[in-house]
Amino acid sequence: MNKIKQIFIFIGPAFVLYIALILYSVIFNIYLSFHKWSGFGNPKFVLFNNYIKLFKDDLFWRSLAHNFVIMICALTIMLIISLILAIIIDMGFHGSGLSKNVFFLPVVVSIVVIGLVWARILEPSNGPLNLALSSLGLGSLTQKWLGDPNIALGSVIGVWIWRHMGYGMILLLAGLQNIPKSIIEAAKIDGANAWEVITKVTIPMLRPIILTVMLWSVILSFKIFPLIHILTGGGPYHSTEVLNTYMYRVAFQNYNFGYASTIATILLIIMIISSVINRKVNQFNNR
Amino acid sequence: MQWGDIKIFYKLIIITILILIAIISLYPFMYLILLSLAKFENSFKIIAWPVNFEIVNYVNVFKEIDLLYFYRNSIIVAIMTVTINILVGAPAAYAFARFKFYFKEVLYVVFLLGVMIPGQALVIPLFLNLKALNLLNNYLTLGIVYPSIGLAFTIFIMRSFFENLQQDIIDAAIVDGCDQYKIFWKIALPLSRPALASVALFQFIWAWDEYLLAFTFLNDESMMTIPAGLAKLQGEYFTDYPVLGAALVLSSLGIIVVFLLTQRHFIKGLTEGAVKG
Repeated sequence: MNKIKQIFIFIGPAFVLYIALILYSVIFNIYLSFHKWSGFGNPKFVLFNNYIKLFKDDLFWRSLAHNFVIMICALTIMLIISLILAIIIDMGFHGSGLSKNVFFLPVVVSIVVIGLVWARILEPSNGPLNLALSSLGLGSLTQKWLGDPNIALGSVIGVWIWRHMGYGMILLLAGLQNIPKSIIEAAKIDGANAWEVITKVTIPMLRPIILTVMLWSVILSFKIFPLIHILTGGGPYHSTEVLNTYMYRVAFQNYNFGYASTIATILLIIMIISSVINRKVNQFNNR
Repeated sequence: MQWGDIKIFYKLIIITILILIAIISLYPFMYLILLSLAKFENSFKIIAWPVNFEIVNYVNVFKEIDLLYFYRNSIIVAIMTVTINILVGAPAAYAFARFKFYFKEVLYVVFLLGVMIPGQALVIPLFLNLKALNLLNNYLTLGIVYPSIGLAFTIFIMRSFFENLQQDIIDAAIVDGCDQYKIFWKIALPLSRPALASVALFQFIWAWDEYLLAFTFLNDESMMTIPAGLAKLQGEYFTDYPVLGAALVLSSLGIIVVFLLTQRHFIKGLTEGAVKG
């Protein structure tokens, strides 16, 4: 009995908080997704109607597509930039520690600050980016950035990569520092030049870490919300709408909590699958 | 590859790339500082060099924005988050690490699920339920919700730490007649300070920067945390950009100073979660 009391005291509070606020919410979310509710009165049970509606919802598929675009950019552009930075920093030149901090700085600052500053920088009429382009004689390159439905998503992705590339760099740097020097030395003795060492030895040895970074960026790309909410709110004309912002809009602007929960549930499923894969790969890597 | 192995020609290319990306990384910060020091009329002309030096913006911040409220609320919420995380999470992690009981692993997996649950899946139910309980629009609510979310991760990190504790120290304590509470409180916990510090830093920063729940739950300026307060400014036709800039600088000073002081630990604390899955 003493042991049972111990368990209650040690794990009890955590259990209560977690069940009451987290697990209950997730279950309630799934429950709501089978109902229609505006927040007033009683929820109305509609079984799979929300999911059928979702399947036919053009805006849902567009939002999902935008998530995928962000994900692909993370897996390509951001990965390459992070990798280049990590390899360069790993070379250990005199300012490499300072450089590491410089590139990590965008990760440190609050996302709200970043969103507000970049919104100002990208301001079409009087933001410094367009001003600078004009004054350099490149006026034809000025764009409406966040206000142009064709370019808004690209602009958002640009800011997003700016923010997160330092994080990927750090993860890859850790992997680089785990590569045994002896292998690099052996390659050099065999006559490999710098480029060959990097492409034929370093990067192949980084494969597990690269996989981890890719999975991390996939999960990250589905979590994106504050940046888009502050930069564009999902517009213009839903050109930057992602699952999160769409769910938010449906819930808190349209007061359609049932349908919003459906979107949230789909998001939950995506996140859980990604996280499980992430965990399995990490366990495999850490063997 | 070491720096010495690179031919000079390639060194130049690398340095150029580095400087370019460094400029891109740093420019927004520089612009922000310049903006915060500008006179209102000049705020739309700034590109990359100072136009004037107007320190009064930093004074006006407190007149035009409830920044002090935001700071106070954020600090309280962050401290509550860290405290509850540790006080509630560390014992649980210890129990998972060193006790043996029937449903242990099943229970642990239940907690682990929490690591995978994104805030997006929680915001709607929490909003509806907290609204019914009249607990919305209060930063103290966040101070309870945030640690609940962080518990899963905290328990995950602390468990592996507690599992690696030296058994002989604990055996010695048992021989001396200590019960589990004493062992935990007087031995395990003090030994776990580095892991606790890591957890505390991570949770503090997470709570400080959290946006989705803060923005959704808080409505009155006096109740808002920094992310919610600053973001809501955007919608309110707040056109005094230099003052807004000053507010953003002031909000970021704290975390940047902490970063510069702790660098390696800071970076490690923020990134190890991603690798441990």
